[in-house]
Amino acid sequence: MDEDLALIDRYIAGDREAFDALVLKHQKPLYSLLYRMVSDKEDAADILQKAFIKAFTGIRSFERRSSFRTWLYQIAINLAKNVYRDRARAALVPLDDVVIRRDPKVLESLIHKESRGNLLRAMAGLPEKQRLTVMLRVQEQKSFDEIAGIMQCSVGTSKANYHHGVQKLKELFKKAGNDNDVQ
Amino acid sequence: MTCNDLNIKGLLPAYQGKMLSPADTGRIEKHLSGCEDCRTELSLLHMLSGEPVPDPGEAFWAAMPGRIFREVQAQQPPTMLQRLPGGRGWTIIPRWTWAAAAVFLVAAAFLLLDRPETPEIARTTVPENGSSYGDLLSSETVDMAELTDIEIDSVDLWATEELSLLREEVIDSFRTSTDISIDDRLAELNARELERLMSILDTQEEG
Repeated sequence: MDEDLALIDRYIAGDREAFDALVLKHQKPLYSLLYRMVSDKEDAADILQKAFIKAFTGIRSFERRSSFRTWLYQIAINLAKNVYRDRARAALVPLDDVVIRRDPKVLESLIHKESRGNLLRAMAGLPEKQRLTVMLRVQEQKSFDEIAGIMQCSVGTSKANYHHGVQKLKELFKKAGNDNDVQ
Repeated sequence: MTCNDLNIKGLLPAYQGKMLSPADTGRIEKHLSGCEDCRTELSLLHMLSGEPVPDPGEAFWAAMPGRIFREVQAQQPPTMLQRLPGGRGWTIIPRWTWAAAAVFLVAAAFLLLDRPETPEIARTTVPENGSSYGDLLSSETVDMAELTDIEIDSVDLWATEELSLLREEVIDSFRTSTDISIDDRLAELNARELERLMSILDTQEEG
């Protein structure tokens, strides 16, 4: 049996140590993803806690069709999406509309030392599914199977989202004249 | 030139994370040596994955399970037995169970204290030690309005038997008594007993 499922059974039976084990096992990787999604330490910590609470209060609705980690990530990502969308409405702008077409200075800045930050900002402008898929694949090292589970789509769709997202970022990267850094 | 080898591209994140087998690693490196597009992509992946994530600190991580557990406890309806920390084996009974038990106990106590004696038993059984008038008078007062027809019949039957015995006892004592005068016997009775006796005698005279 899956280790997490065994811990869940023990928790439901009243084992507090199993509860702690589940939280300790998943808290850091999940926090890392959430921080990358919302780019704020406090927000990431807050969403992390809410995700765990939501998962454990609704543990009986977990049908075990996927792994606990996948289910937990679904909950956390959905919570983070709300924060991200609220913030995006206030501050962020679509990559295609502004970064590439209207603001060449942003492109130029990619060749400077802060190119990573600019790249991350560019990533923030990707369509949500592409952005999340790239994040899960590149930064969290999730398999496409797992990404499909978390994103609730097919493996083919997760691969397509990944490739389209990376392709868009790469185009931006090339246009910024950073090709010389690539070796 | 754009590379369309999706198999290689799909493995690049794992290569970047050093999670591939030696065979796949060799295959990727061979491809990278001749593919500028994939080298660009790999560089991009390096850049993305290199984003630092600030660590909230060990104190934050250590406190997280307890914090979440308390919140879950507060939000979750206590529908299951939950053990206290420390493995002492204690169980917390859900609060509604305690409330239900308390209501049940109060209701049971109320019924036991307030419930009248069963009429058929209390009213139809003649006391073993005779038809003492004191027993009759010390009986609990019963509101007749609360009794059913059957209970009233039972009381009537009991009263008839009880008073019949009392009447015989009194008459017999009158006949056989030589050393105790009637006045002495009457003096032993209290006011209510006398009043009751007079009532019985009046009834007999009328009968």
